[in-house]
Amino acid sequence: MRKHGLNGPSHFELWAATDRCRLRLPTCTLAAGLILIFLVMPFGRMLGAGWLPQERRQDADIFREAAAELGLRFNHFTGATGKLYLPEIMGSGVGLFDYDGDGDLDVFFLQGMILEPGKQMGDALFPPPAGYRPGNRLFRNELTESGKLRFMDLTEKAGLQKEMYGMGAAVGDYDNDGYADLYVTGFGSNVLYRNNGDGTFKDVTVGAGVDDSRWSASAAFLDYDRDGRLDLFVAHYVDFTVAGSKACYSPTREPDYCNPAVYRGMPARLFHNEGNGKFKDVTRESGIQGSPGPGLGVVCTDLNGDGWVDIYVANDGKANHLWFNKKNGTFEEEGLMSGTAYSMEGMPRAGMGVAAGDINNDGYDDVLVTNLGKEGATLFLNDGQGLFTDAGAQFGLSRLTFPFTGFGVDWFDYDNDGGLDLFIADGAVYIIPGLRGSPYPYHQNNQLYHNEGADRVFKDVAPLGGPGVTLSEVSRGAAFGDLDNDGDIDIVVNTNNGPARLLLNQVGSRMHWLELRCEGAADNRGAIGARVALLRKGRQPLWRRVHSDGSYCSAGDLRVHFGLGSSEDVEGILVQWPSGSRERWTAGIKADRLISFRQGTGETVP
Amino acid sequence: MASRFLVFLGAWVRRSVLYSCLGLLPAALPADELPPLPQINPGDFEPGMQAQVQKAYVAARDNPGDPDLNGQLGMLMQSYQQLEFAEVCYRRALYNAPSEFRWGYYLGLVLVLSGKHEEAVTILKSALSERPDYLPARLRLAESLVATGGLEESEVVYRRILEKEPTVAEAYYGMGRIASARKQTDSALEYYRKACELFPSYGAAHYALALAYRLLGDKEKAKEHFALNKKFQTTMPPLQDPLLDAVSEFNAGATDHLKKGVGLGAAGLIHEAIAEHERALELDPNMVQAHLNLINYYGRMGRLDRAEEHCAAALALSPNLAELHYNYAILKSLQGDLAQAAEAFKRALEINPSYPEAHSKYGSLLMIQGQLAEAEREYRLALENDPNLRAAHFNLARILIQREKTGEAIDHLHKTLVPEDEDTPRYKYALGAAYSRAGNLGEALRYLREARTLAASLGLKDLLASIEKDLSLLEQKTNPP
Repeated sequence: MRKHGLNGPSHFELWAATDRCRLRLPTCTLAAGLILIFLVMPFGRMLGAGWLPQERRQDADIFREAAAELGLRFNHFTGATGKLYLPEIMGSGVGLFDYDGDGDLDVFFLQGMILEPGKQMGDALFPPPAGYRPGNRLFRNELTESGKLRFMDLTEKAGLQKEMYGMGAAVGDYDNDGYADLYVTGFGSNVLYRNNGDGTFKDVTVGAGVDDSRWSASAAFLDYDRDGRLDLFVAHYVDFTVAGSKACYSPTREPDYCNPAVYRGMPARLFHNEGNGKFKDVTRESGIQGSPGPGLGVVCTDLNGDGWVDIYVANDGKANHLWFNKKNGTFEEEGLMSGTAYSMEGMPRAGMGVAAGDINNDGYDDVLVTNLGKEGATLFLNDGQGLFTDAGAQFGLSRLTFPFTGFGVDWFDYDNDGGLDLFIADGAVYIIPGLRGSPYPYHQNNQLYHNEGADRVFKDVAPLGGPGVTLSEVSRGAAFGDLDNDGDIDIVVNTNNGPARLLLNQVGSRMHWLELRCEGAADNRGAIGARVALLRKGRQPLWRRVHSDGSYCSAGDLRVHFGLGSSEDVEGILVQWPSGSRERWTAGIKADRLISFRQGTGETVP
Repeated sequence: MASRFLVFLGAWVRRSVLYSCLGLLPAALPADELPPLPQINPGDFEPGMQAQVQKAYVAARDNPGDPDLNGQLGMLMQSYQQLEFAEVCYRRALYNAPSEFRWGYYLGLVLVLSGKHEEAVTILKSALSERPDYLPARLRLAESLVATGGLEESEVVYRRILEKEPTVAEAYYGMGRIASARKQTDSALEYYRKACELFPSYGAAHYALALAYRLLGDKEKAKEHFALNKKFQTTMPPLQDPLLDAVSEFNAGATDHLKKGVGLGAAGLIHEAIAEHERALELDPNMVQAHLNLINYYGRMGRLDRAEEHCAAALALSPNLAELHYNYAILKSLQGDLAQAAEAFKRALEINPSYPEAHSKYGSLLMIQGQLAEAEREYRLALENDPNLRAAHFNLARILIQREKTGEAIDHLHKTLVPEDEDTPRYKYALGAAYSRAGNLGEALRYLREARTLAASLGLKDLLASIEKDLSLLEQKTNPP
């Protein structure tokens, strides 16, 4: 490398100096320099340090981490006893849903446990802190009218206490009684909890016929056959068993967690809702059984513009699956042909979390999959016909996400400017060499990117995100929703072997917003799968959808959120219901509030 | 002296102000000093590596001004995939010997692998000024230029490579990537086609070609190249890179021998694969995977005695590895000891109840013993966990035919037809026979004829004879004289 040279001691020029300072007088140098420092530096700071446009200038971090402060005291326990069982590093998800129907989002955390036979809490490598209560936990949101947020652990009262190796949560009103039900996946049996509507749940797994003892990861409720009843898709991971756990090593032969490739991927399952509280396993006849995983992240959305919900599965280390709905009860796997199976180089990547959203406002959901460090997240841009291109380089995300191992993820508009931004919860699955010797050498900080507009590179705003973003932890599941009902999206993160994090959004509500609750008339009352367009005069509609799936093993807010930017104008709302019918509302839609749209009350649109 | 000081101060002030005004204060200022060597604990490495690591580390630490010792530590670390550590070592080597090509190349390579493409471009350009003809470095530079959006510059690099060496498949692939980025699909297609022509096993190029055909609406061609991508996967054109080979030679670990052995085994070089695995075990006798692989290789060579030795060794180390019990069961089956084989299959399934191959092979054992109901159960369990397991579909179909459930048998036999390989004639033969039983003579003839053609092309004489006999009978039945 060349070293910078200095000009000779007797001759120099200053770009901003007057002619007087062209004289070879050292004192002029110093004086001119000092003048420049005091006069020019302020401008230089503005130009060089990142001038923030009006709407993004801020004096607060984007998020404030407030979990413990607000009573969301949950510590994830991996159960690690030194055997390096694979579930210990995979972590667990989190669900946001309004279980008690009081209009705010409650929080459900999945919890681990000791897997090694014969071992007790005293044998745990990382015993949980004092106050630990085993099993998955439900925290009721006790938001006051004045907006004061507080959470209370009501797990036992709700009947959700269960000690299991919890992986994921899926939320949906499968029995159309108006109350959100909960499907919990795990390493081991899964559980379907029916919401009784009185703050309690009942385990109806056996009767419903939806159990599966194989290792399940993400799950999603969807109405794939448009019969008005929510069906259930469950991704299965690998055929790991405790008894058959394999010994794996890092490149330096240190014992480490295994690459899932040493196990076999398992096929997913699809259950059809028969309408009587029972489900029928239709995996084989639907065609889903034809391609095994190992599945982790799942998102259900229309990816080829035909109005029918498709299923996208991020498979860990293998080709991702895109199941196109054939509209006759069957699916066809078209990951390869659609261009969503592999990265641009034709190689499988890890594939943990998945997010679908219209990032370039062309009306079609694009798909992002989080991967291992040194792979980079993969962004598949949708052309609307079911063909995708790897656009990670185009939007800068390949480069930006390259160092991180990502899990929980979603597109969401954190600053309400109308563009979908991106948050990724990170944490490694293999020893990070630089952290070797530390107690838990897998931690990384999370990522936050601002959408700079169509076809522009995303901007890394993690340094502005606050400690919840910049903390170096092993983050896994992430769920997105407006927990304090103030019009901006907050995030809850389940930290592997650590405390849960609540990232309260502090900036979004400075811009205008609109939140919608879509209500099906009789069937699919939560309207899961509905597509919603915000109509604005002279501008492209903004499309979103009603969903709680996506991310990693997590369930998010079923309400639809729009950021409106600085304008309050809304011309109308168009809803494409899961049944295929469309309705529009144009009257009385005002910004900065939550509005419910009930099927059958709008103007029918062909 | 005072005046010199003031001049220096002025220049520093000027530079800082200028950089500040333009927001150009770099995150990492040019290295005016040697990057410090990180701490290392040789105990973190496997026993076979520790002495090597310790020696190299001490040498580099105690000789900070020696580019070779620092660079060689970097090579050692890179060989063990410790890229962050290797990067520091190469920076130290380059600091001491800025004109030495190899340190710049290694640093550039590590930066590329770490995704630090902007800096990789700078470093590789500088290195190539010393040795402009080193092809691997030029290819990595071009790749990093694409990653940083420098399409024009990358194109120049690739074109210059092709001017001198027109058979470099990777350069055509790179040109294709540039054309794809510019949405020039027709041009991209030509480049990818050329890359595949030069190196037919180029997995990534087949994938890119498939995507290009897809964009142009040619679904059939796209499918063809997706299939080739699936077949060749990550296979890349061979590239002579003596400098990178030198890095690999640093790896004294058992894992490296195992990896080499697996690669040789996959290429069908069983003797060589065995040699590498045995070497791995010399270095690490507890390497269970090496034992496991050797069971397979010795079994394939018919050396059941050696296979059994490795089985016993592996079981002693890892009694709960389902694959070991499975392999032991196969071994015992080959030796005719069905009772022991059955016990071993059961043990494998106890450890991993979802083990499809174990269910399938156990089913076959039960079939031999005449326990058809139990065999059927095992095949169905196999298929629940691996719906693509052709052997399970085939054998289940055989049972179903015996139970006169021909329709279901035909469904299962259809699932054996993809992918097409040396087993396909047998499966098509069975499918033809099933159709014949079901009374569908048209389909029966079709599949028997296809089976015959395939068996003939594969030189499967006994099978061919059998097919021809049945086909002849069927043809007489359908076209009586």
